[in-house]
Amino acid sequence: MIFREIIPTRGEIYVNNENISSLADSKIPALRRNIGVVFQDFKLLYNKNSFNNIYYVMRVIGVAKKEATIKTEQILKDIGLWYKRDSFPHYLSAGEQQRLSIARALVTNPSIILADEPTGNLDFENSLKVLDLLKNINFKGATVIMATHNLQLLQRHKARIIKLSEGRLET
Amino acid sequence: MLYFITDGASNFIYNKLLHFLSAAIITFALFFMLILFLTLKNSDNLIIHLESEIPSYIYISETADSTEKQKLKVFINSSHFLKKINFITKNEALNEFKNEAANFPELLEGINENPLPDYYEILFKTGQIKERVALKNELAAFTAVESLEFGEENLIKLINIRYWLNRIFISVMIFSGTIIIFIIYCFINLLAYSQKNELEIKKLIGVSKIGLCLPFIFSSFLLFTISTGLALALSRSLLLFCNNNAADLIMKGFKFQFLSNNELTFFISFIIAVSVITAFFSINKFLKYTNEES
Repeated sequence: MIFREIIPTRGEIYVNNENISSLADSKIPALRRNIGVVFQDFKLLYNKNSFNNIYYVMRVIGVAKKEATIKTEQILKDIGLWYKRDSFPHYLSAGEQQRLSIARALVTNPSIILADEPTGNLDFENSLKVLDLLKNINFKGATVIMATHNLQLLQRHKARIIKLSEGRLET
Repeated sequence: MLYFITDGASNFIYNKLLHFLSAAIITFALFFMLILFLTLKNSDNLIIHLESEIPSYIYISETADSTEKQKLKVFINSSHFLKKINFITKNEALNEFKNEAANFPELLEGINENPLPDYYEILFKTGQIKERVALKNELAAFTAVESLEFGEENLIKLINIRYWLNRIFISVMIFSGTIIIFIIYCFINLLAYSQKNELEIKKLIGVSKIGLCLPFIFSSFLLFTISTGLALALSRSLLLFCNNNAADLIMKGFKFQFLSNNELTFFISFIIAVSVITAFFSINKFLKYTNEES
């Protein structure tokens, strides 16, 4: 709903002080450029290597070739995947794929990161690495909203927790 | 914008087989349509050419006096429909008949008096059937005219055949056009399906709808441009071959004509419009479907 993929049947949703429940279709791309999304199943491009997975998104949003190359290099170095720049997603571990997926979400420099079960396919050690990465993003100023079933993980990283229980939100 | 166009062009490299097959089928269908259209166009020209080459005959009555004959002569000479008027006297007609029947003397036996009338042999300028019938009706009113032989019945038969040919060919052309639209629709769907992940990521990072559609529209435009170019080149070559080898066999002096500049402009504009609209409709539907699916 925050991403405006579905419209609420009741109530209103405000993102950055804007009511997105009644947002015109033409304004949805602008909203989405401000939100980075991370999925449980990574949604990477398996026919492109790590570098091109990021570079492709840069080019699509209109970044010039030279600038896109520099920024991609920077992002891959920041998430510690520069040494895997030529590897295709199939040759990356699940943790590395998820980090690459997070890196892609950061390309548009969003103010909100929506992470839908980002650790769902990862072992505990890799889950901690991903969580550290998300925490770093949060420290840099972006809001991170993460959905998870892993209570053990939440106990290790204290943050505001909203519980969804039997269709009701409990804070 | 430029990136989306180059993205569309790069589809050609990544989906070679799909593009090659689609281009081949569309080229063949366009070539088939062009040939049908050119056949119709040239059959019109052929009928007009044929009509203007068929002579008509005006036979003069034996009993007509010189004033009536003079009136008829003036009327025929003043007609704007005619390109050639030849008056043949009854003696010239008999001599011609004797020359033609020289090898068959039995045909000439018993001819003591000249039974043939004086007559005019005329050729029409454009050979329009309407002009032919109008002139025939006017000539029939002259008392000096004994009979008329305009051969319009055969021409009407020819025009009727052409009318039905026209209908059949246009139906086949519409059918070919529908096949082309169907092919481009499927082509865009397959292309979009092969790039389903890229599309999903583009949507995630907030690419506008036009940004999502543009590469596919450009791919379709490129595919149609190549196919149209090939189809035009093929049909032009075939026409040149026919003009060099077969046109004279059909009728001396007849040449097959290619599309005029206006027809060519209309054809290319129409094809481009069809490719762009169909591609937009197809990708739009695909995006809606993937939205509902997700």
